[in-house]
Amino acid sequence: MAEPKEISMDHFSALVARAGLDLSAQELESLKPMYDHYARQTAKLHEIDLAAEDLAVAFSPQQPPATGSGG
Amino acid sequence: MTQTPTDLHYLTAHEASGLLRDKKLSPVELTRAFLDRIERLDGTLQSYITVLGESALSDAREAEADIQRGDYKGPLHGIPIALKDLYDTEGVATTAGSKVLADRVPTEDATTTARLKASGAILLGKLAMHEFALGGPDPTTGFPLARNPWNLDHIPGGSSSGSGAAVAAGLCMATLGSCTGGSIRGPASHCGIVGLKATYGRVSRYGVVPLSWTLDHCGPLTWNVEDSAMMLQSIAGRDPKDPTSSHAPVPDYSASLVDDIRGMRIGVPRHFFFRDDPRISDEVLSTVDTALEALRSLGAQVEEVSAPMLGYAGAAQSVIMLSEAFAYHEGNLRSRPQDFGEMCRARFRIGGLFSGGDYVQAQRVRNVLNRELDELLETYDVIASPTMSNPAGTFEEAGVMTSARTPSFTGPYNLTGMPAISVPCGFTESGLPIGLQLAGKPFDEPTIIRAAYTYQQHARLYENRPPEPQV
Repeated sequence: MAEPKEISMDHFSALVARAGLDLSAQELESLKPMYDHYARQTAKLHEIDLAAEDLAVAFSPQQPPATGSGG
Repeated sequence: MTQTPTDLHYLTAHEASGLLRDKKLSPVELTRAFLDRIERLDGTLQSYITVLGESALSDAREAEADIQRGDYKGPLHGIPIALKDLYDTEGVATTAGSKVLADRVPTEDATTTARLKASGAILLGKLAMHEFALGGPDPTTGFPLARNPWNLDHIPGGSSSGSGAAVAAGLCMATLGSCTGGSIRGPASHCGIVGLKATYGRVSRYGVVPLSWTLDHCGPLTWNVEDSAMMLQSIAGRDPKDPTSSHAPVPDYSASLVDDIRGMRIGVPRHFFFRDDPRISDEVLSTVDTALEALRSLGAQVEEVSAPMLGYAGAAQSVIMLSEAFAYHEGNLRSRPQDFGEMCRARFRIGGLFSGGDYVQAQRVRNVLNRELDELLETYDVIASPTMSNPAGTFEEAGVMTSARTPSFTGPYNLTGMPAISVPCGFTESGLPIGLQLAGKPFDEPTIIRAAYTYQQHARLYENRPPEPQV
């Protein structure tokens, strides 16, 4: 799959504003390459063909202790 | 007394414990030896943020009196420890390495702090760390940058940087780190010591400054496996104050200190950990391959396995960690951004830019990874790999994005919550330590402790101590 296109600086500014962050033009400039890095990584998560039963459930601390102890 | 003050700092906690119990060593003498060493060396190593000289000596005197009158509390009684500076300590500043919390003095101990104190451990002080436990040394925080005792030009790893440095340099006998993506095992690997991240829910996180609620874990860093088992014994178990802590019974971890892995089944996902990637050190891979051969020679069945979802772990980890961190720090990021170091400020801000869909998809990927590794662990007892993809880098090499761009070998087990331990397995040609990572089934710390102990007893790398820092 092709790399996702980097978003424009205007689009990035809008994203930052939506997050409630008030950044200077210089801060936006320096933050955008980092955002682009993470956006490329994150796009890969959306490429995976997950099934309907693949829920967004985190690990349960109530899981009973394992019985096997190896060897 | 069988020891002289100059070698007390290189006793393991387990060795010291026996001497203290048998009244052959005084807790006061032991504590004073560490405080003297901290005073002499920590200006160079920068591993402590706060040293608690007076209270440590006062606690040591109390421990001595207790032991003398026969009121021995157990293996940690009189053992000098230190805590990463995000464990709350009543009446003692707990900063998380940030100006944001510089003046914060908790009115209550973290549950783990309280349990260690109840076990009779002596708190020497609070240790340096990367700001808010996010990976990478950042000189703009204004807090000390701990240095690697094996080579002072190199980082000790992080975020439990002071924990790794202090244990390796003999500036405390044991410590607790915290781990969201590898902050216990990473410094352990880089500093040539043992780091144990217990199962999610095994150790209370009440009173520990969070980075990411669903990924954060607590656990010990120590010189050897015995000491990690001893520390875990003290802190493990249900805590009503932490809703994520488990009711699962706590076994006797010392029973796992058995030098025998015959028949143990060890899986190695080589496609992920040993892949051809210029960002992964060949020297690390060849050293860990030698360690795997040693495990085989000790009677384990070591086999290559496949877990394709590991390839997505790094992306899922970043989205979850930074989104949750943004949720926690949102107010301060808006009202006092100047109080964050450059690294945290930038990366926490990124956490506010992911979409809800990104976060949910990351959690779904996490769930599938969890299922995949669960299935593997129906056949295998342990999954083995290098702990870190590279030996410790220099401070010059450590930039804002260094940890984000380097493949993480530890993060997958923060996503799945599985227990994982790092044990020293060799050195680079230039003398920097390399770690072997062993991960196991949820709540099956006993098996990874046994595997790590058996390997340790074979490799005997604990006999190597870092060079004495030049001050």
